[in-house]
Amino acid sequence: MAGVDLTAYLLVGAVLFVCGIVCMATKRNGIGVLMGVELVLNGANVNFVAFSRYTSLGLDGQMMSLFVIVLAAAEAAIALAIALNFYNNHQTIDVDRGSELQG
Amino acid sequence: MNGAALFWFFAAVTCAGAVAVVVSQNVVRMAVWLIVALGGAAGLFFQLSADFVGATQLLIYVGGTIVLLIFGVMLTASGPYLRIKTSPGEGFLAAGVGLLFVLVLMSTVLTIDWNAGRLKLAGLGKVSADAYETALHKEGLSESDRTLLEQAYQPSAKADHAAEPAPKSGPAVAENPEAADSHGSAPKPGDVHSVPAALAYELNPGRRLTSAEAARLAALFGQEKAVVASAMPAQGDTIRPLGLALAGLRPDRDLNKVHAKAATTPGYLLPFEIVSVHLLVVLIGAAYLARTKRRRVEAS
Amino acid sequence: MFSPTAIPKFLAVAWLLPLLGFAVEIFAGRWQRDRKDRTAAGLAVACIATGFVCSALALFTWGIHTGWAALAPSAHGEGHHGESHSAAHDAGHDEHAKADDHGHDAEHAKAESNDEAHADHAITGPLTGTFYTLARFGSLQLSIDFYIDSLTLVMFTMVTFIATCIHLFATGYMSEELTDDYVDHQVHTRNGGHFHRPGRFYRFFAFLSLFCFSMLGLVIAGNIFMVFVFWELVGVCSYFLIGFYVERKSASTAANKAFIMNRVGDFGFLIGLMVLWTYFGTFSFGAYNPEATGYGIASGLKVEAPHEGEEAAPTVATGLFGMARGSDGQLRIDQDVDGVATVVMTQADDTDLLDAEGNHRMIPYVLLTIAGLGIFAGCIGKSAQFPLQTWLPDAMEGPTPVSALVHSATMVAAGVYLAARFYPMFTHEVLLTIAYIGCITAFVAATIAIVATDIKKVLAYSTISQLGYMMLGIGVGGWGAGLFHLITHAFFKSLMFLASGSVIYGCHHEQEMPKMGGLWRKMPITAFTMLAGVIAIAGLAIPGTPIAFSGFHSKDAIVANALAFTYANPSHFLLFVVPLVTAGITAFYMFRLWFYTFAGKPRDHHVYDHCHESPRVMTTPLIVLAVLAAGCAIGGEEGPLYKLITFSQPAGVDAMDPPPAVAQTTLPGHEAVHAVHSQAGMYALIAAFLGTGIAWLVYGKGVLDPADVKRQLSSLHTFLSEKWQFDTLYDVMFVRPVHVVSSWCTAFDRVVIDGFLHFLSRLTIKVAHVDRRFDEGVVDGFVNLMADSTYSVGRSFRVLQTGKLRQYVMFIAVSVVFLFVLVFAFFPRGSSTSAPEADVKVSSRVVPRPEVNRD
Repeated sequence: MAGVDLTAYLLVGAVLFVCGIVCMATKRNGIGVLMGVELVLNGANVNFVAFSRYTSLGLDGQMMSLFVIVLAAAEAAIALAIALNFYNNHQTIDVDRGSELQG
Repeated sequence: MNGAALFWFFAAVTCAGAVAVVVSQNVVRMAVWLIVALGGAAGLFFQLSADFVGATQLLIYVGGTIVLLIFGVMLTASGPYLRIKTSPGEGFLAAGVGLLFVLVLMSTVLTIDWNAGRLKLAGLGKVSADAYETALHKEGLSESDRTLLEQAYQPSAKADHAAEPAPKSGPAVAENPEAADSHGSAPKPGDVHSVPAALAYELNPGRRLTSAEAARLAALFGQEKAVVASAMPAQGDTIRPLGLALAGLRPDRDLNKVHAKAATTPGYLLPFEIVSVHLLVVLIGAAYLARTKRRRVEAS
Repeated sequence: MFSPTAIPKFLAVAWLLPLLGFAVEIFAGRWQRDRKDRTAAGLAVACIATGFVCSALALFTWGIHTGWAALAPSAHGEGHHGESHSAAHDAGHDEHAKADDHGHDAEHAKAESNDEAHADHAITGPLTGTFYTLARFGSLQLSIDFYIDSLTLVMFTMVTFIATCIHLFATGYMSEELTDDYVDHQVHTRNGGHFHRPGRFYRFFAFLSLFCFSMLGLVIAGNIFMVFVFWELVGVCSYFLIGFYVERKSASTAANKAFIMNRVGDFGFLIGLMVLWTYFGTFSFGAYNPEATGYGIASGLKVEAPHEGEEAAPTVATGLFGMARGSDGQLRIDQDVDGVATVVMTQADDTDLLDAEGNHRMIPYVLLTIAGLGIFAGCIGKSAQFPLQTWLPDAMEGPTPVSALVHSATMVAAGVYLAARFYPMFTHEVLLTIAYIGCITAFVAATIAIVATDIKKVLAYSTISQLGYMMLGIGVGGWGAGLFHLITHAFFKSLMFLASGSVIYGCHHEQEMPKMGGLWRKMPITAFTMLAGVIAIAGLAIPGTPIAFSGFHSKDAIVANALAFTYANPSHFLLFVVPLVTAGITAFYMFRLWFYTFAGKPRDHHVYDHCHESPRVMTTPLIVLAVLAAGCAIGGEEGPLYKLITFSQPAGVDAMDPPPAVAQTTLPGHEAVHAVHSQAGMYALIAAFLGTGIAWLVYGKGVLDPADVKRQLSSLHTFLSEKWQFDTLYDVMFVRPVHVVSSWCTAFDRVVIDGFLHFLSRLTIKVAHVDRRFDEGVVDGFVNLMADSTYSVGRSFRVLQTGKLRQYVMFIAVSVVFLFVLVFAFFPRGSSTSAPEADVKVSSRVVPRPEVNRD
């Protein structure tokens, strides 16, 4: 089983994380941005669970990932509500249109 | 060996899904690819014997959050095939930055010695002169091992160490509770009691050890398993401990602890409650935010 | 009910009722239906009438408990506190039967019927005590005390009685105010009309009530502090009432004048008060027990008095009077170590008063004199004595009932009363001053009265003159005589003022006598009651018989005292001559007034035709007062009134006073006075008849035309009608210098102070200009620079704030990468320590992983 250790999982987490970041940075669709956020959170989750398995972190890592999942769900609900409001106000979901706060 | 194959499979699925989410232009397709990526992550969780987290991932993420997102897609779609294109320049820029980012992260992951911090916990900090001599004059000791031993240890500088009562039995000091259950080695014959004082050895602070060197040292002192002992059993079955932890109990730690008088490890009751309240608030807040409002007259 | 302790209670009721009345009446504008309501006046009359009843009851009670010793010469011997005025009673013993004949059987009978009260004679001296203690500062006790002797009681009865009559009269006289639209014909508005205002009927009576309250408080007062308070209160009330027609310039000026003149006198009063406090350490007149609080300590009572419920504590502190003089009425004059004359203070038992260190307490004779002069200065102001007499004629601007009250019972009487009350504190020098002041006042005022034509002005000057008489009487040792005259004068002067008020009312506010004449046919009651008053003040009597009006008796007593004093001190013969002449002048101008007003032919038919007799509510008091003016002094110095007054005469007054070491005058004793009594009476009667005769000849018969005399003596007439040029003199002496000095002050202010201030302000402006430049240039410049730079920095950063979500994410990602690169650049291999790299050559890539799996 050589090679399958903490490092491998961390690499997967890193890929997930960077994909999420890029997703957030490129998607003009608000929902797409949300999906990017989900990817980022999942990357973190993978790391948590991996540490839980391979270090003395133990159950705590899993517990943290559980909380992250729950909070991600909550965040998704709120974000969806925000997106709906955004849509109501701008008649579109394009986040580039919501630039009222520009300097 | 099945485990390794499965890991690679799930890792590939996850990474491919994630990349596909980034690449695809249609929101609905993105959502589908997201399901794939998250499902792959759930598989990884199972591989890490975190079965409960994996199940939760499938249930809440794949079953709940994604559906929520798809609802969002439907509610905000102004046309049947909505495409909001990103300019190619931005795409390339983001790709470049992302690539840099992933390179940075990967190099970080690969350069860090994840076990280095645990060496001292494994009891390699201070050894009696006897144990040190024994290890140094072991049969079949290679030249590199000898060099390692000589470089890593130095005689204890302080004379008053002699006055200390006996150091812990041998080099295997079970300071770490996690390590306690896995080491079963008997004390070495040359006990510290029979050795004259002022002949203890301690780690040389100027010589940093890698994890491999540490493992080798541990092996020389008969402590192979103590160094890399994992906190988690290889198999799953984490539902009960997790549930108990959420209820405020940590039998997985408290039952294994060496010192009976040590404080009971706290569970997660309070965070659990906080998160529950948080969820409730979020529910109400989301309902409030999402309810139909008077449409604002567009300024332009 | 008639126990000795009831006396202060009666008097307190009589005293406080007018205050209560005032408190209710002053708000009558709120609770009365309209301005035509007479309720307030009724209340005021009821209060003061009840006060009179209480006063009379108190007098009666006092009589019971003294066994009427004041009236019965046979009973006075053991009851008195050791003074030796028994000589007076012994001398008049043979006339005692006569005194009883004159209508005092009733009172005597009452005394007889009250045998058991008669028997114990509980009251032996002045009743003193405390109603209420206001505050105590160390040894200084501020309290509402009472000091009740026969003088207090007589004053109370007199004041309340006359005030009742005046109140009653005023309800008629002031009835013009019972309207919502009173037209003041003496005030002209700018558009030529008369001033209109709502009537102030109720307010007049409220002030009258307050006036009575103040006066009664002054009479009952048991310490100087309280006297001073009520003294000022009387002044304030007179201010209110003189300025009742406040819209008239003359009235408000007169009120101010009265008030300010009084302040001049009060300044002296205050000085005297301070001197007394400094040396005697008490304000209290009589002995009282400072340990006992509250009401009920009547030190004049015998301890074994059966009516005393509680055991009366022995008196501890001696009052001012007891300290100043021994029980024989003499000042103990001693020479202290420097040879300065001092007065040693004594205790009630005639032993010397010692202070805490055992030293004798004493006051320098000079300071005692100064204190006396100070107190008397207050009396000068209040009783309108020379040289502060000018306010009283001006005070005629008030309504006539006020004049009557001021001139008879209250304000001016207060001065005389106080002078009499402080008699024990006065040294011989002070008494001589009092005598001369009184003498001068009497003469000056009488001469002015000759030429006055305003009916009220004549009466005003006669009041001043008579007050001078009283002062003279007190000053020459005729304590009883002065007060006797005070009481009789109160009756006939209030009578005459009310009568003149009736004339003024009947003639529609015509006050000039030359426009009157022959009015007796139109208003007979007024005319003849006035005549009674005139006869009384002129001091006429039928020679050889005891038939005489009250004025004769009292003036006789004063003249007799003056004559006796002149015999004892021949150098002061003026003190007899001047009053005698003044007596003649008094008779002259009073009859002149009467003839002018009521006799002869009408000089102004318009006035005559429209005049009418006053309503009954006004004439009834006139008749009552006329009877009393004629008969209140019945019996003369053997009569009840005089005896009542002299019962509480300070010890030693009527003894032939041996000249003390310091004083140069000798006070005549009672025997001396009595010896010259008939002689003096004869002189006075001759003078009075002379004056009356001349008046009759000139104004009744018309033998001499007054106009001729006026022409021939025009300069003298002018001098007199200008009131001896007193106002001019004061103008030159005080007003003009003040003007000059104030113009100097103005110039100084303008030139020096204003100049300095202007210089300062200009300097300030200069400095401010410089400061402004600094502020604008440096301070503002710096602050603006800061602000501008901050603003420009913000503007430059503004571009970063694109508002685009994705760009922000991008920034974050780039930043993180950048940070990572930085960290890698400075801390290679992710190590945070400075470990020597050379030691470790092992690459993590090639390290064999330890076995982790359990399988």
